[in-house]
Amino acid sequence: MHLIPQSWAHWHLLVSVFPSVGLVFVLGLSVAALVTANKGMARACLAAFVLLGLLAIPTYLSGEGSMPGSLRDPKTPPDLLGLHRTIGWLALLATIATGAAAALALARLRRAGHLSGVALKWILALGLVTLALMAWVGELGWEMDHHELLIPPTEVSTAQAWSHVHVILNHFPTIGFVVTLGFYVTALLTDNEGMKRAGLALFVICAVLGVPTFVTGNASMWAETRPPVEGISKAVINAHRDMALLSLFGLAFTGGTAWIELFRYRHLGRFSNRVLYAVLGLGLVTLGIMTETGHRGGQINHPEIRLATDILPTDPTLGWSPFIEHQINQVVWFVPWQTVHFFGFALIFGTVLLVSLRVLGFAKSVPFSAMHRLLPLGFCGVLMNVFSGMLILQADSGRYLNNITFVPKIAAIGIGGIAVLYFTLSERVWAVGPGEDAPASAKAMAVLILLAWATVIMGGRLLAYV
Amino acid sequence: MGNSNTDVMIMVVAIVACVLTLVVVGVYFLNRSVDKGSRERQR
Repeated sequence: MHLIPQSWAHWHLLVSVFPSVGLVFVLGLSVAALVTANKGMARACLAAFVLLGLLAIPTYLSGEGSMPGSLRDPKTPPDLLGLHRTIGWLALLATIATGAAAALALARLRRAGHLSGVALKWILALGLVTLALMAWVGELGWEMDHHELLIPPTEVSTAQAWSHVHVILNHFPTIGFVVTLGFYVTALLTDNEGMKRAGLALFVICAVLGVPTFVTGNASMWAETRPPVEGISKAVINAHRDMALLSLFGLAFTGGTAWIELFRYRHLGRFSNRVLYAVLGLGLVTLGIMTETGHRGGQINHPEIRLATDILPTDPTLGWSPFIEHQINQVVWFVPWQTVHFFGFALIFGTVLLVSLRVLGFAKSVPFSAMHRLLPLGFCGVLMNVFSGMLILQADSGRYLNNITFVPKIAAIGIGGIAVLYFTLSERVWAVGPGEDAPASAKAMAVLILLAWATVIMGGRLLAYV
Repeated sequence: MGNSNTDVMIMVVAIVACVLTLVVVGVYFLNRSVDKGSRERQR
């Protein structure tokens, strides 16, 4: 396997996702910088916009370099390729314009010592236009490369919609993780507390995104192999799955440690340097694992990036994933992990119920800060269930994933996870003292979080019977 | 190992006990560090 690209097509696949997916994360951080009026964070976001603008150059060059190969591919319609190229130019011009505007704002910030909120809002608006164009050009690119997405649902055991979602979604915890690491290192170097908190929160968000990415990946495997799709090997998919499982645990450990430090910061008002650097170390290891996972994922359906010297696996029975599938199908392994899963739900729902009830106005004499101390119990429940849930899924993923209750369950996990992060971080909820009412937005979030986790539990139970 | 009812029961108790012990120990130490830090902060 080679991680350093050896062709224009490989470079293009790698570089082109940064100005699009990376932009989503930088836009999110820019909004956080505006809301918190954090000058250091705003400066870091502007620098990130400039970097993304510069990445437009290798994206353009690698795209042009890939053209002859794409034109020779009989499966790629020339008009689709032409449209991808035209919209690509527009998107890259918009990226450069956003980067140039950010560079001007940075120069003004250095000269005048302050940045007007209006300037940052204009850059944000320009970034949103760029993002819309990037989404369009990305979709055209996927249409060119992933012909299997056009197979009608009637001809496959699992809908290709899963594969479509996976090829989009998998870039978020990966590219997002790179952006997060860059941002987090900047936060550590500049000793900016707000940026450290934002960086830790982003690690948690990447971990939450890892769950639907892993699940959609499992579904894509069935969509690509039952019946087999020409040119796609189950053995190569299994090699990718093995690393994907490690990536998921890497994301969970990094996000979990980040969450613990956010929790401690809330109560202590300061960070522990030891934990901050532990998060960085875990993040770097996870990035290494995700790089290999992404590379193996690219090998599945991108023959143009393979080299003659690459030795791809050929035996679909080898690897950890088939081993786990075999073991978890034994009742002696399945039932214990299912029991752990139920304990996890008890911890999550119990914690969420108590905290949400306080926010909704029950037990008003208790300050929110006291309820906040319960959150680690729910957090442990989430960790238990991510681990046990992913194991249980391997028992019969082809059936579970095609069940009508599975999608709402997985969507609700994402919503519930982000909502828990809200209770961990929100300044307004934290300030709710004895006898005080929580703000209306927090009450709405409490209802959402209860509904989300109730949906997760009901969706899970119905999986066995619907 | 076979799949007799006894095997399954032993495995359920063993795995659940291990996981819950980890949870209890983890939450205990996290709580202790927060309590300790809060006391130092008040001083």
